[in-house]
Amino acid sequence: MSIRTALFVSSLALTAVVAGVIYAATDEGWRHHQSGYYDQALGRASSQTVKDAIRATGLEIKQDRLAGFGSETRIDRCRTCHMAVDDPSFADGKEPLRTHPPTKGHASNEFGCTICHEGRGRALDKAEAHGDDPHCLDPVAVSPYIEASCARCHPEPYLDEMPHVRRGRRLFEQYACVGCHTVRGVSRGTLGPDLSDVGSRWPIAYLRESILVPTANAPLTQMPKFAMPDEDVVDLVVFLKSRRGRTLVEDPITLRTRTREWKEQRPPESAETVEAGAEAVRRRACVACHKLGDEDGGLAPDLSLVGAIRDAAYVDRHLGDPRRDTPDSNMPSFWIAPSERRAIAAFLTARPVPTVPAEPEAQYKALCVRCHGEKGDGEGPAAHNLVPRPRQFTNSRFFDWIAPDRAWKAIREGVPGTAMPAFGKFLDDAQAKALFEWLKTRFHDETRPVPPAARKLPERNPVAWSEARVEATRAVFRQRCYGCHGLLGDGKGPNAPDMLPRPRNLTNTAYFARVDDLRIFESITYGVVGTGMPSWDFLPEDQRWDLVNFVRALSRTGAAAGGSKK
Amino acid sequence: MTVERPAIPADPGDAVPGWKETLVGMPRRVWRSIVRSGPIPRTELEKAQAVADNFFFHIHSAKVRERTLRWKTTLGLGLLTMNVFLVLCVTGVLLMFYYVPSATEAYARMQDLHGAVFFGRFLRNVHRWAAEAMVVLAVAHMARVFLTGSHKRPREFNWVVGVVLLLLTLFMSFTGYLLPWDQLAYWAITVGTAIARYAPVAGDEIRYFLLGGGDVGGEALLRFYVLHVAVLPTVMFVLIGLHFWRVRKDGGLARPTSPDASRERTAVAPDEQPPFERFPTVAGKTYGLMAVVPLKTHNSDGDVEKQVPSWPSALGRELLLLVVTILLLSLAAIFWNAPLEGPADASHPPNPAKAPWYFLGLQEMVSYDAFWGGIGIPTVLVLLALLAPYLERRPGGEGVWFHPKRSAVNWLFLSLIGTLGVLTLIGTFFRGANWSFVTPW
Repeated sequence: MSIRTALFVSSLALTAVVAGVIYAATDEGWRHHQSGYYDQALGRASSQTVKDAIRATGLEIKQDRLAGFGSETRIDRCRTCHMAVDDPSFADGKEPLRTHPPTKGHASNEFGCTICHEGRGRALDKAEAHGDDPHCLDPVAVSPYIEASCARCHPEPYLDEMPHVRRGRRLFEQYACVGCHTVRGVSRGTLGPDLSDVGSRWPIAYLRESILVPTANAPLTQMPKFAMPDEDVVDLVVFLKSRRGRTLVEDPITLRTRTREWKEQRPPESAETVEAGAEAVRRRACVACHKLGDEDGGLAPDLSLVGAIRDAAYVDRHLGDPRRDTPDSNMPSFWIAPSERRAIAAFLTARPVPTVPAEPEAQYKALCVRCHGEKGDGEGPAAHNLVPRPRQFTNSRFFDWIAPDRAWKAIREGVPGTAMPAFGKFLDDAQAKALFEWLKTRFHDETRPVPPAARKLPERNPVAWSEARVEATRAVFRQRCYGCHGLLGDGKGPNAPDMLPRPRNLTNTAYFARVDDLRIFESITYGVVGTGMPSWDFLPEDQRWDLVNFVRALSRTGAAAGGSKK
Repeated sequence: MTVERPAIPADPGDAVPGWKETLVGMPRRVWRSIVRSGPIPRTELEKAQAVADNFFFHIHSAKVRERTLRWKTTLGLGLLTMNVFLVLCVTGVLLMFYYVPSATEAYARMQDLHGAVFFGRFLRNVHRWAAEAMVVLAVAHMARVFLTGSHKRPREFNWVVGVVLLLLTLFMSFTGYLLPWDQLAYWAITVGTAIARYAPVAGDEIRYFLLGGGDVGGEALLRFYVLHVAVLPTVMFVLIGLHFWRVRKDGGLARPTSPDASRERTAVAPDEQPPFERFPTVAGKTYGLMAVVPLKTHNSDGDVEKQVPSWPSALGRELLLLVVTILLLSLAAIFWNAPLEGPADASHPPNPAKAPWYFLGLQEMVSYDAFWGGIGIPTVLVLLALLAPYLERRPGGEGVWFHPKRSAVNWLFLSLIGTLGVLTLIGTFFRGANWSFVTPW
């Protein structure tokens, strides 16, 4: 092909393309909608004057410039397609040519569209304007989620037209969300993220997913997976979506948080009586997670047993700071006055202790099932919300290896620093032994012989604890232990989510206070059978002892506890 | 053959033309005063004059070798790069009318371009795809030059100019990447500039200087805008001019050494030959003007008969390439929209956050070793590229694709480019959340 022909052909093609582009640019969708509107309006027109006026109108982009809300000026071009929103004769029309239902005092030229409906006001292409792409944070809102927009200007008390926001606000307290999350003006929880502006940060789908499956967006979250009906999820999402950090009008909720009174407010005091405690437990929605009598949140331990396995001082302490005794507890620190804490403790410990059956199987059902699960696989209803997780009795290798007296002691005295309580009041020594034997046979499918452990353990820790050596050991820890136990030793290393049982939190003071140096040394040297902890026997012996001391430093126990007291 | 000479103004003398004559002859005189040469050149002389007399054409020599015009000699890559650059300038200026470099306005303006501005989306698409194409074409042009040995003496410095132009192209694309102020732009620039941090001594300072702050923000947007629309285009225009000028002054495209020429060269060491003394500089001889190259000129190696006038052979092909470039870019702009994600939000990092695609090879290397991947190896590569013509010791192989004499360096070049290409592909398609390996299907 000669250059001339090629030039001719390509120029023709270019001309065609340019013509096509010009045609496409003059043939946008909104032009069709507008001419459709005028055609229909012509048919409905009553007088000749109106008809002439319609005929004389050209197609144009309609734009509302709205400066009355917040700091930015918004531009809404929605009416370019939705021509009929103000035209009462289109009440029976089909979208986009339909009259907007009556809105008391919300003139569209004053308020625009996206203030309520969301979407992208500037766009003129349908998909883009409605936000039909994953990048749009606020696509066009449908009922009931559009109620969240109402709350931007109509704060509490919520209007009758906003039942879902109102119910969502109530559910936020009923499910005890207030315990973990701060929503400015509503709650002061600190365990979970602040949700004051969550509505402006995440789309609806994300909020919904985060409630349904908390781990979906934060793999190591301690947030429980609430079993709630779908309408509750929807209403909570509507409420959360309405939380945008700032409202477009002066909002009593926001104003309240600025007052001195709010800032200096103390939690309300209460009479220290059993009755007041019962009332507090009801008002504070403890059963949103816990079980008490017939009511059961299905997420946290059974409070019916508290009287027998804990004392009032413990309950008081636990309500004040749940992570004092159990460092990884996901129980929120509620905003409770000390007097109310004592009232709740009094109420819970005053409850009659249920009698415990004599049979191990019945005992297991009564005491253990809630955490360890019916199948003994550590998957009880509360298990997902306990850190460390309940032991799996099906882990035969671990339970064949563990010294029986350690298990008996755990049953009778509990395991400090974990959710395992002391069942000594229910079970005597013989019963505990019998229960453990029953567990081992009941959940063992096959007993794998553990190779006889020729374990050489020294008598005592030969390495004296010194801060300098501990500091020097940090490098070894980072090299050997970081992957599972994490940089801080809190058991949240990068590999942790893949392991069950989870790596031990080495900063758990209460737990390590009861563990002697030899056992830590043994675990490091030989690993822990049935867990992810491998054997480190190839490390020089004094380095292993250094690691023992390092664990002491992390957990502030043993020699380190003495060191810090100085 | 009758030669129609261009109209030479008659000796004014004392004769004053009459009004009628003046008015009738005026259109012709105006036209002539603008284009000077005759209407459509027919003879070789006229064709030569048509090129030499025209400001826009005079970058060409009057005649070019047939070899130069052959498709396989250059694949037209340099010219394509230039064409795309021209398209970018034109669309860029048009887009500037609608753009505001402010963190609050920029994204809204993008949305306006998508709907309310006539041709807005088309312009943005053309500009976007032309920018991506220019990076690819510039690299391809560089590969062509290297693989044909065209960067060798005496064209070494023009190669250096070319490498600088390639780096400027990347920087140009990088600065433009931020301007839409969407999530894609924001995080790509955040990640891209984070690589600068790994530079020794002044890493953070460089980044601070580039961004006008510790993070990507309004100041960074303004800086990138000024760089993108004023500073870098000016520098590039000047360097492109220099690049073209040197192509001319170095005797056009590199070509295989003829046996004669190589004998000549061995007889007289070129370094001892002052370039201007080898050829008689006789007044009035055109080739005297071109005799600036020490080794060969158009007329010095006896292939005069293999030359054709630039008009219309070269100019026609250039016009064709321009039309094809615009055509392809328009088609791309019709079928694929330039990406636009949600508005930039510093509190919502996407996972993974990726740099612009041409830096994903770097980002991939950074994921193995921050300093070596982000600074060390790229610096070595750029130095290698800049010094390539000076480092290559063995003479010969100019103007021939994959000349056997140069197979070693060609393979080195191809493997380096290939490795970077593979790393870029991995970074682009095979990296998911937390930069873990994923398969795109």
